[in-house]
Amino acid sequence: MVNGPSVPSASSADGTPPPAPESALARHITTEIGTTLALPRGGERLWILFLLLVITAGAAAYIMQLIYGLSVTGMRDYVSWGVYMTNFVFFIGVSHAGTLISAILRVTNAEWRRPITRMAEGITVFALLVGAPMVIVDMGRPDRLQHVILYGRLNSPILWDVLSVTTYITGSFLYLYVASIPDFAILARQGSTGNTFSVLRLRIYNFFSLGYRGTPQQKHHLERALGTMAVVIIPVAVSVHTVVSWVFGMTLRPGWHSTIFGPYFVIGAIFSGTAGIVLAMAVFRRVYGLEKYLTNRHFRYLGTLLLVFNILYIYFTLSEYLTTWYGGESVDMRLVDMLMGASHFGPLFWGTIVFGLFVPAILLVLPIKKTIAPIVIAAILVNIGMWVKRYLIIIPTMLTPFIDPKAAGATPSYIPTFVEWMITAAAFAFFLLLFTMFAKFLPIISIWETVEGVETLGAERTGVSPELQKLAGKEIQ
Amino acid sequence: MKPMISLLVMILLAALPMTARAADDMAGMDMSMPHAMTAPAATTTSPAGPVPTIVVAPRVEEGNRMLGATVTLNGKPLVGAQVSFLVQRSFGIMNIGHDETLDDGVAAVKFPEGLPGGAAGTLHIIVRVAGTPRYAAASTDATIDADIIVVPDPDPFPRAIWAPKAPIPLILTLALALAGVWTTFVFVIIQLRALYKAR
Repeated sequence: MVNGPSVPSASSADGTPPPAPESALARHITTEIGTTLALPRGGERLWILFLLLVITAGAAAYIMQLIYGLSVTGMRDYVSWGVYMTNFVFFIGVSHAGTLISAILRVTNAEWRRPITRMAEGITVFALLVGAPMVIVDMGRPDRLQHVILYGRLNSPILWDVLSVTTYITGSFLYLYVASIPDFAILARQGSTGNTFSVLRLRIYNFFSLGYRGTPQQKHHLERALGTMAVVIIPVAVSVHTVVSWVFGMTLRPGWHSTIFGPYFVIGAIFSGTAGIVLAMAVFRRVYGLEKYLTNRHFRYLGTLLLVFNILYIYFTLSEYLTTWYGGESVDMRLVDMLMGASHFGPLFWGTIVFGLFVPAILLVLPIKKTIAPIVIAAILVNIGMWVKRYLIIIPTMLTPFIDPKAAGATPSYIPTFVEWMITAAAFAFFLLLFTMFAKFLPIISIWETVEGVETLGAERTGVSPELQKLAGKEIQ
Repeated sequence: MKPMISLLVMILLAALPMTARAADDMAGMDMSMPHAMTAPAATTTSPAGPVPTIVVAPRVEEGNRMLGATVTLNGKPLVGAQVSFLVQRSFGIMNIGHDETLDDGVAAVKFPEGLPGGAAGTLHIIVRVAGTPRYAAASTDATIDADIIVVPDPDPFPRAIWAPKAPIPLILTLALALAGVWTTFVFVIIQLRALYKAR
């Protein structure tokens, strides 16, 4: 369970008691982090414009797909899941960032999590919002989406996926919101953020703050809500990626029908999710100058976690392919030959193994403490590698049916088309846009958790700059 | 808001012709698929010439069970006609033999012993006579008793997607898991309500 926030209260225009005295530390942190909430300027506007352009191009590509059907994609009778489903699995995987960083570290009282929980929870929600609709994009007749509900069968892992992803999205939204209530209360007072918010924006903050003033009773309810969500969201997240793996694993296809697919997918999801949070931290730290809050220590700790999951993923990959290869079933061997042999998947497979798994592991064990560059480079490689790995899990298996296509005189192939790449680019742009806009609406670093951490545990344990410690304990009216 | 509404309208407009085209595709679809074998006997498949008549019946020749077809043209046996014997299966038509008619107009192939006849225990036989400049191609179908009757398993794949009902344990497991999680969400919302009331 979490400790109650020691942050000040929301406005009291309705005659409630005046706000409690605000500490100098709380004011300082609120002012510094509050700068991220200013309206977009210069480079930020260009960035948003660029993202909007990519999203518009992707929307146009999707409209073209709606008009002409899936014939504008590279998908045909053999390959019905292409880059869209790759994106789906990838984004669901990235969404595990919030669960790992926020929930697991919260439950285990890892206090250094405090400045990075908000980002992690945001990644979870936005990755789900972008990833889940990729299934609809993959549908040839999205106008029949309601059939999943009307005629869905509980026998089908696809329906299990719909149920678990819906539950996960709801839970992630709730978790992000509960953890943000004290910050909504801070923002509703706007003064200490150094910004001048519009009346509408203040009303929104006030509405979502639920009148939080940090009273012992309110802290008690917040603790219970947050503690409960932190516990329940972990099995939900694990079950979601397990069910995603079952969509593949429950089918009798080479490369998919494997009992380790559940844990293999879960480890892969946490692996890419951790890499995702490292990248987000690096970007926000650089863009908004948050070096005091996102310190080298945070990167080192996350780098260690990333290394652990990197090694685990190597282990699972070895176990999966060694078993398949050693078994030597003819259809499995066709898949192994395609993946590791002379086909165009060979360089992709070995490139992923080398640059997506082993090079990051080497970078992460380097004894470098003064720079975060190796960890960030490792995170970039891991994210690229994990996207390609999902591509390699889906496509080669679809090209390897039990009856050899050669026997039927067919030569199946799959090359993603421009339409697919544009929609994929738009999905990534939409994810980045949601994150950018989120950072303009809520502090990207949880103010109340950071203040509470420094005040009650010290800067050292919270992982933030020791400069902040000097301000702790001083109070201003 | 306006751009969003415009985008929505564009998507709807785009979807309309798609639906119309899908309907056109359905209308133009070739419905003479193998499973739609309801054609009358001795139908012509070529416009030119008189149409031979075909009568299909099992027969015994020199102690061997055979499947025979007697082909006549204008009431007289048709000699030298090329006859194909086929049988309708679940996913297509299987060729079981080919023969040429003799002086009595009869062509015959070995009876398809061991070919399962499904729940009804019958085989749907199709016999085709190739057309020549002298007469048109013809085809007929007949139902004969098969040697093997396959009694269908009422629930062969209880967990398959196409199975009519999900197993009770599966439904219970899913329902309990979902109920547990959603009840927890409700508990959290109750806590938030209490937090709001304590403002």
